[in-house]
Amino acid sequence: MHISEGVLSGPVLFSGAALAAAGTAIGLKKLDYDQIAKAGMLSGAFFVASLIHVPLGPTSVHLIMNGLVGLLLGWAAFPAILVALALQAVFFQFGGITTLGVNTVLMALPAVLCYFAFSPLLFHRRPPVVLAAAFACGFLSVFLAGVIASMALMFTEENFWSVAAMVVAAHIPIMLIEGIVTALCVVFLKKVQPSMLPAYSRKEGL
Amino acid sequence: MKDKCLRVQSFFVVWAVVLVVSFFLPGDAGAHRVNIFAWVEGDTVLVECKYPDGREVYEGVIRVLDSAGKELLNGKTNTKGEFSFKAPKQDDLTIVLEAGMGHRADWPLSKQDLAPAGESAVPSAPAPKTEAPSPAAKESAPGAASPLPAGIDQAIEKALDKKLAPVMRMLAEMREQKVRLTDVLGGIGYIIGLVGVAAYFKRKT
Repeated sequence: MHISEGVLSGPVLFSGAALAAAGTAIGLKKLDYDQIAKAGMLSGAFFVASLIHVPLGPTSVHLIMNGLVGLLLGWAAFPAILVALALQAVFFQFGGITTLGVNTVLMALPAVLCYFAFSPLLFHRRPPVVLAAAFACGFLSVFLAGVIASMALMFTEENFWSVAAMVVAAHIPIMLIEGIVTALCVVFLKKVQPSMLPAYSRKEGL
Repeated sequence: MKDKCLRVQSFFVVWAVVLVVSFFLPGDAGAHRVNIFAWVEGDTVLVECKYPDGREVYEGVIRVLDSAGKELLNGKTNTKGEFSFKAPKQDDLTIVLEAGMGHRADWPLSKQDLAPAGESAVPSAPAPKTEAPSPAAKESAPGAASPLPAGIDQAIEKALDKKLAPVMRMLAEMREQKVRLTDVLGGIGYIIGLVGVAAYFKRKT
C-alpha cells in the first residue's frame, strides 16, 4: 500500500507531510526513555515485515504490521513508522521520499486510532474479548490505511468509491492475516512479557 | 525469571529464522514498485513491465506521452507484462506504466532511439533526400547518405535488431532492482543507530 512518487498532486503531498510531521512531533514528545528500545524493535519489525510475503492464489500479499506497532507504541508509532518507511524508500524503493509523509500518515494514523480503541481491552477478564480486540486492531488498521490511501488517490483518480472498493478488496486477505498475527502476538506477549503491552501499568494499579 | 528470558529468546530466534527463510523463498510478489524497460526494434517499441521479484505486470495501463506531455496512445500489457506499439511520431517519448493503486514507473525514449531503420544513422542527412522525389534520384540518394546501398543498410539494421534482442532482454533483467540482504541488514543497522541517538537525547541526567 505504499504510494509511489509522481502519483499524487502537490497539495496532497504537502498536507500528508504536514500531518506526518505533527504526528511525529507528538510521538517523539510522548516517547519516554523506557519506550525507546521497544519503539526501535517495532520499527525494525515494521521495516522487514513488508518483505514477508504470504502467497495467495495468483498473487501474494505482504505483512504490514502497523496494527501491532500502534497497539504497543501508541503515539510513538508515528516516528517508528516514519523511520521504517524512509528506510524502505531508500533501500527498497518502496514508496518514495516525496510520498513519505502521505505513506506515514496512512500507516501510522490508523495505528494510533486502533491503539486508543483497543488497548484498554487487552487486559479484559474474558480471553475471547482480548482475542477479538487484538484481531480487530490488526484488521482495522489495514482497513483504515486503505481508506486513507483511497482518500489520497481520490484527487488523482477521481472516483473515491471505486478506488476505495478496489484498494480495500485487494487487502481483505492481508487484513485477516494481520488480525490473526496481531492476536497471536498479543496472546504470546501476555504470557511471556506482559509489561510490553500498553495497559499493563493500568492493570497493576487496579 | 530465567525461564522467561529463555522463552523470550526463543521467540526472537524463531522470528529471525522465519525472516531469513521467507527472504529466500522464490516467487514472492511484492506489489510495491514496478519496473519498466523499453527498447526499439525496427519501427516498433517494445515495453516490458515487471514487479521487483520478476513477476509480470498483468493488465498494467501504458500511456505514451510526447515531449509536450500530451498522451499519444495508451493500452494494457498482456499476460507476460509486455506491450508493443508503432512509434506514432519522431519525438522524445515518455512511456508511463500505471499498475494501479498508486504504482507508477516511467521510461524515457529519446528521438534518436526512435529513428526508423533507413534513416537512423544520420538524422540530418535524409532531409535534402526527400526533396528529390524522382524515381531515379530515389535509387541513388540513400547511397549518397551512407557508403552502403539502401538494401544492405536495412538488412544490417534488421539483423542487428534480431541479434541484440536477447541482449536487450538481459539488460532489462539486470535493471530490475531486487531486494537484497545487504539492504535489509543496512536498514536494521540504521534503526539500531537511531535507537541509540534517541536514548542519548532522552537519557535521564
